Parts: sequence; structure tokens; C-alpha cells
Amino acid sequence: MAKKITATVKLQISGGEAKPSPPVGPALGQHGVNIMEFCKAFNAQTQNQPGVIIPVLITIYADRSFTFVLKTPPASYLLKKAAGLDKGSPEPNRNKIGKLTMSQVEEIAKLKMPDLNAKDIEGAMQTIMGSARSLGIEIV
Amino acid sequence: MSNDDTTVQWMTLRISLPYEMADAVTNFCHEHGSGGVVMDEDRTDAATVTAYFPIDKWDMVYSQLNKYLSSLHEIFPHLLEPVLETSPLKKENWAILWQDSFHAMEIGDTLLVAPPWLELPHGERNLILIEPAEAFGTGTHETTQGCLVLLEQASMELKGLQDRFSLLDVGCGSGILAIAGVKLGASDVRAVDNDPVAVNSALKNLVLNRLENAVKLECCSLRDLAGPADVVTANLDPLTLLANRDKLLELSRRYLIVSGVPLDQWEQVRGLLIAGKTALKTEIIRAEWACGLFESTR
Repeated sequence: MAKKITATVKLQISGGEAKPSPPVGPALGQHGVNIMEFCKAFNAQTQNQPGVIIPVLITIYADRSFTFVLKTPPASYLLKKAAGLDKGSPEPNRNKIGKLTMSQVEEIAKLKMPDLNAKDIEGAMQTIMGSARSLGIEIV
Repeated sequence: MSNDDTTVQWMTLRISLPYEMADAVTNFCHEHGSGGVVMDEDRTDAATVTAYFPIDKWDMVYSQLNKYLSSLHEIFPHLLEPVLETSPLKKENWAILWQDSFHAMEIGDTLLVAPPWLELPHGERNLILIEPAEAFGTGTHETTQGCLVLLEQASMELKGLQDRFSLLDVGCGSGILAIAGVKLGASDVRAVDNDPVAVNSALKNLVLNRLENAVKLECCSLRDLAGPADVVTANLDPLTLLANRDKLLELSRRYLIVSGVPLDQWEQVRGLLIAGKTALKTEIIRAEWACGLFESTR
């Protein structure tokens, strides 16, 4: 069918846990999208990733039908997982709560490269290191 | 911040910030009970994060957020400070609120397209139930409506000429045209789409209309299709239409209905279809879209 895009919405939701309450409801409801259908489809595709934060890009067409694609988890999620942390530091400038090596940063940068505004792997690594510092993770 | 309005359940937090801070702030929101965030990263150097927090936790979240942002500012002193906006959000039934934007639509002389949750009085029009979901073809768009009107016309003319007629819907999306085809009297209806998600949506709509046994539904590409039909509907896009012109002409025994063509490309598409030995019987222009009913002259 002919498709004309009227909006794109990018959400981050835990795998298998999309529900009509905020942020899904207000974000998609304003575009007249069938929220329950989105939740069912998202949860079906991510049911094996409970607790994993999953960015999802939803494309909404002129007749209010939609499609969506899943992206790689955010850098902060991957960094915490690599460092064995449940949460980031509430005061990352003072309290350092974890350590990662440069090769771990590079590994995460490679994984995130398609979703980052980085020109090359070095740029992606700089972004990942910035995220690490924001979480109180030191790079050693 | 206190709020005495008991209908307020959430506090909306909207933060405009440098791109480099977006990941950290979304992580903060996830860790503090937002249940998810909305990201807007249209610009390469800035982003907007929107998150919703339960109103009873907001004071604590707000205090911790300010502390966290101060900490980030010390780490990134060269970056602009984030700008925060907050607004209360009332309780809504988001699961059904979106349904308000869908209504029953009378299309052509005989068709009525409606979402399944509406209770409609029994009428004389052919009812087509469509659940708005992951496939194009909810019935609200000009391209779909134009196709339905032309399909109705083609069906009426064929019924005056022959006992039975067949329909092939190429790029079926939600299945709306195939369902209309059955309701308009086609005895042999095929619906195809190369997108499995669309085929799945079409199947759900066929079941909704109790027509799952009346339409042959396939997931395949246009170039793999064989066997002509009296009417072929192709609500596609100009590039696909032009790249597959000969195939579409070969598949359509009598009528070819094309849609999904922006007005500024219509002359080209129409000209190439007429050059392929068809005659334009009817064209419909709605908003910025055109569609046409072409009859084979071969």
C-alpha cells in the first residue's frame, strides 16, 4: 500500500513491558495509534528480554497505521551490565562505583555504532566513555 | 511540588539537553520509575527526553534529578545546562482514548468502513470492519478510499457483463480492498503482500469479517505472482507501480486500479499505463493523491 509518514516516535521501554500508561499512551495516543496493538506486538517481540531497556522507533502513517523497529539497548544499559551494576551513581562526579577497560568500551561502541551520531569508532567510543562517566564508571 | 487535584496521576518531565547527556538522563529516568521515556533526537547536537513519573514520587525524583544534573554539570562543564519543563498529567484511559479518532465512513455508494468497537445499526451498506494496526489500509486515507470507489465501479460493471469475476489485490496491507472485493461480489479473491506483518494484519481483518475462507492470502512479491484476475488493485507507490507496469498489465485481464500516486507524478504514471494498451475509464483526485481505473484494450 502507498504510505505517507506523518510522525516518528522513539521510545525506550523494558522488554515485554509495554502498556498503555505513560509514556506509551500519551506518546502514541496523540497520533491516534492503536496502543493495545502496539503493546501486544512490542511485547511479543521482546518477551525474551525482560528488564532490558529497548529503544523502539515507531513510524506512523497518514491513515494512523504504524510499523516499528527495535534498536540496540542504550549505552548506559550495556555499560551497567558490563560493570555488573544495577544502578548508576547518583553523584557520578564524586562517587565512582565501577570500572571498565578500554576494550570493553570499544566492544560497546561497536555494538552501538549504528544508533549513535558518531562518524567513526573513535567518535562512538568518546560517546560511550561520556556515558560511563555519567554513571560513575571509570575507564582503566 | 504538591498537587491537590486527585485526577492528576503523573508529572510530565521534559528535558532539553545536549546530545551527550541524553543517555545519562534517560538512564536516570528509567532508574527512578518512569516506566520508559520518549526520545527526540532530531538534531545531532541536542535531544529532548520526556518522561512521566507517578505524582506521589515526583518530589523525591525532582530533588534527586537536580542533584544528578548538578553532578553532570561538574563532569561536563563545557556543555549547556539542561532546560527542564514540568506539567501535571491527568489520568486517562489511554488504552481506548485513541479510538476517538476513528469513525464509521461511508465510501462510494455501497460501502461502510468501520473499526470493530463501534456498535452500528444494521444498514444496507456493505460493512467492512478494519482494526487499525500495523498495516496500511485503515480506510481513512484518500488513496484507500479512492481505490474502494473505483473497485465498486469496476465490480458493478463486471456484474453486468459476466456471472463471476475475480480480484487480485497487490500490496494488500490491512486487507481492506480484498474484503471489499468479496462484499462487492467477487467470487475469486486473492490478496498478496511482501510484508509478513501486513499479511498477518490482513488475516486478522479477514477473520474479523468472517471472510478467512473467502480470500486466498499470500506473502509473496509482485514479480512472483502468476495467473490473471478480472480486476487487479494496486495501491502501491509510483516507483513500484512503474517498475512493475508490465507485470500489473499482464495480471489484469480487464481492469487495473492503481492508487498511491502523488498528484505531481500522476501524469507520468497515467501516461505509461495508457501506453501499455489500457484506457483510463475513471480517475479520482483527492487531496494530493490520484488514483485511476484503467481498462485493458488488448
